Amino acid sequence: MPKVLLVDDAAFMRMRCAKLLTENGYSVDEAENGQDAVEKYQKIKPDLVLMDITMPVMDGLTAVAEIKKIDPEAKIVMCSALGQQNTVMSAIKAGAKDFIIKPYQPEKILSTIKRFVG
Amino acid sequence: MGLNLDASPEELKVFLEEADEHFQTLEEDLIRLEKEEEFNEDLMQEIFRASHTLKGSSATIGHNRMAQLTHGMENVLDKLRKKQLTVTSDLVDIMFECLDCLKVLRDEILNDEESDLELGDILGKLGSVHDAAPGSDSPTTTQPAPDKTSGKQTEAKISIDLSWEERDTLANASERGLKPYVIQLLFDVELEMLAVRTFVTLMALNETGEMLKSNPSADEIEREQVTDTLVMLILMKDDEAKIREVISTLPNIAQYEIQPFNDNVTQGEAPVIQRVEKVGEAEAECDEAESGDRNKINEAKNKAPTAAKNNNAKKANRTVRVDVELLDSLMNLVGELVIDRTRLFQILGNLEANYEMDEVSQDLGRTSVHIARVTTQLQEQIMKARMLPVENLFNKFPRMVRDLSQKAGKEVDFVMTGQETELDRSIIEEIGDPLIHLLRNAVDHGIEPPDQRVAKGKPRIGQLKLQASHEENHIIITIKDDGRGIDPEVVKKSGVKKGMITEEQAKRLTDKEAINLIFMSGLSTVAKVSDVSGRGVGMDVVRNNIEKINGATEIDSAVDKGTEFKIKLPLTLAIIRALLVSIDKSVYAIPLSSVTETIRMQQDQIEYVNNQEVIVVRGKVLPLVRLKKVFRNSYDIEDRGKLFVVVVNLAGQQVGLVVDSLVGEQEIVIKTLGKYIGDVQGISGATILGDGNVALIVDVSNLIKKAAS
Repeated sequence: MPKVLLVDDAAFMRMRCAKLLTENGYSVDEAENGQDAVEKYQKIKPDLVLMDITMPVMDGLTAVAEIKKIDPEAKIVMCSALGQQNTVMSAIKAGAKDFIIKPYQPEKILSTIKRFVG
Repeated sequence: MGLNLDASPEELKVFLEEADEHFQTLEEDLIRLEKEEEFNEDLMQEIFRASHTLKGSSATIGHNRMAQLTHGMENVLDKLRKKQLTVTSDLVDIMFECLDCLKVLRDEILNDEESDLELGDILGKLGSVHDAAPGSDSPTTTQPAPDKTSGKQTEAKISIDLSWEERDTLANASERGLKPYVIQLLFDVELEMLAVRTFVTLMALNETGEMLKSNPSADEIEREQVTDTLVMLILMKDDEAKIREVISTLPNIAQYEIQPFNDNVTQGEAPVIQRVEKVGEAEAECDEAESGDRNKINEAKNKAPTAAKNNNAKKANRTVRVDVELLDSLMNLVGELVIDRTRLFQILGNLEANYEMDEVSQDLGRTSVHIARVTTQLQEQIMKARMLPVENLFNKFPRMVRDLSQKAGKEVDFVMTGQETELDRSIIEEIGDPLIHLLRNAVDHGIEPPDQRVAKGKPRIGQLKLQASHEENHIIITIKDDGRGIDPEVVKKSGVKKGMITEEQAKRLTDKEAINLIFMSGLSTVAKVSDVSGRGVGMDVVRNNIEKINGATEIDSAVDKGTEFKIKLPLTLAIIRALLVSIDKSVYAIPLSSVTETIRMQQDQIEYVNNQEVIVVRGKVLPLVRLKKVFRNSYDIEDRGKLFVVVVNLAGQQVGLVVDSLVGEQEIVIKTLGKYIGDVQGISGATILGDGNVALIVDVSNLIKKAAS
């Protein structure tokens, strides 16, 4: 089962996303900020990371850079709201593979994840 | 009409919990932000995050109006964050208005019904603040640009100008076994964040070979100089099937064309793919598909079980939600157990006294002790279950004080302590209004305008403290200001003017008694009635509300030093400790919270003032009330030489209740007298004693008022 690490400070968003992913055959782990994500990435070695941008403690952009340092092959998809174009662009340059725009459409999340982990 | 939100009840629960937390963050942080002189970046980030998360979550559940409002807020907060706007109290006002609207929108979810709140006004305010800031055509604007340009762009020629170096690389490519391909892509119309999509696509295709050139270039894409077309020249080992394979996995690509690079193109011009006439069709299709989907979603929602309409299931709570009624009835049942516990001990006592204890009765004794212990624990636990931290109530006060002081032109530093103190939820419900009233008074009448304060040599900013704390079996809430205080002379004058006391009486009043006059109905010392207080209704209501729940109020005030209100509250409403006394062989219960002391004295110590029996206790004159007279209507005061006086105190007023004898102290369960008996003067309820007899509970405040009149 492909492992997805879900990073978002909003428990509501995590709950919703985790439900969708587990229902579609992914194993899901959750992290509530960038720092947490970096730590969990090392422990879990997920196949894909869904990364929120605006978070306390460590934001998504920093977390992408940190994870890439640990694993240059890491597959990270940014979860962005409209209006964060510049940040997403920086994240892509830092090594994130793709992005999805909130509010999430289930088909979009699934098709995006599928592209990277099958 | 329901909101048709796209979320399960569990999801909504989490959503609402988080929303409440974010509201709280916004409320607290906005006040801090306004207060702090230096721009606090961390605080600003926190505020921004709260609104940003709310936006994302509300859009996800499909609460469009909430998403719309938080989007507007975020735009303004972003400007603040980037220091393109400065924090002014007007701006904070607008933010608070937003917060109020957000709460209405949250309640829409609780009620599953759209409110009649109009967002036009507040969105307009946010818009004009935002637009007034510099750099306002930032990427926060929602509309993507390409739809304007796409028409033109498809006609334009897309050129691939190669530098000499690049031509060199190209010429050497075949030696390295690489074939050049030109790839042209057309993205979906009206794509959100087109620049990033273009960039991601470029990166993905870059991995298939060696990217020689692209139009727009990576730099241009970063600067958001994008159209909905992307042309690339790639050198690669594989053939175009590989490219097709990669492209097929990429999202948002409407059309593409791959051509081996040839001389024609070397001249610098690539054939342009036209966005085929299908554009219109495609859009129509897209619209159709979308509206089709929407219909489906709506259908699905309509089919959703009606359980979703069950509001209770949706309401937010941190843990398990229990109906208050259930808690009340549990408390009632425990009350019955408490009565039986007392009763059981009494029976056991009789048993021991009158019969020889054998194995069986000893067993019964042990079991009784155990049941008593469990009952006590059960009582404590259920009381705990009913407890809430006063925080829930206090939380709304900082905002209220801020708004009030702004309206009144005062500067107030409001400090709260002891928010974690827990109180029975029914008490919390009851004290909300009295506290609001007292805080309003403090801001409105207590604390002086800044200039007056300076003139008096006080610090410009007034102090207002709200404190909750535990004291033995009570909770004490104090409200303390360092304002102008209550002048007893002014209160006296007002009381005389309103005909509430005679001038004669006024002269005899001590300062403390005079100040206590403010609790009488109809007395207001303020010359001008303000928007919020000073209408002469209030303080009596405050006291009555507090006394209704067996609480007591005390004032301490000094002119120009300030005023302190002290509210003493019981931990629970249902079970109290009481002093049992007997009058004519009947037992009465006096709530221990109002008992100061009991005195045993001689009949001949009684003195008379205006035909009123009094005693002198430590130099203080204490009016006596003979409960026998009050409750038994019996006038024959037998001279037994000795008598027992229970000194009760409420709000600084003391009275001695004369009783036949003292029975003891006990926990009692308060029962109402029932509708068919109705209100009885001097009695507030009844309880069942250990021996099964009924005891009446003495209404101390009523008796004190009677003694005073």
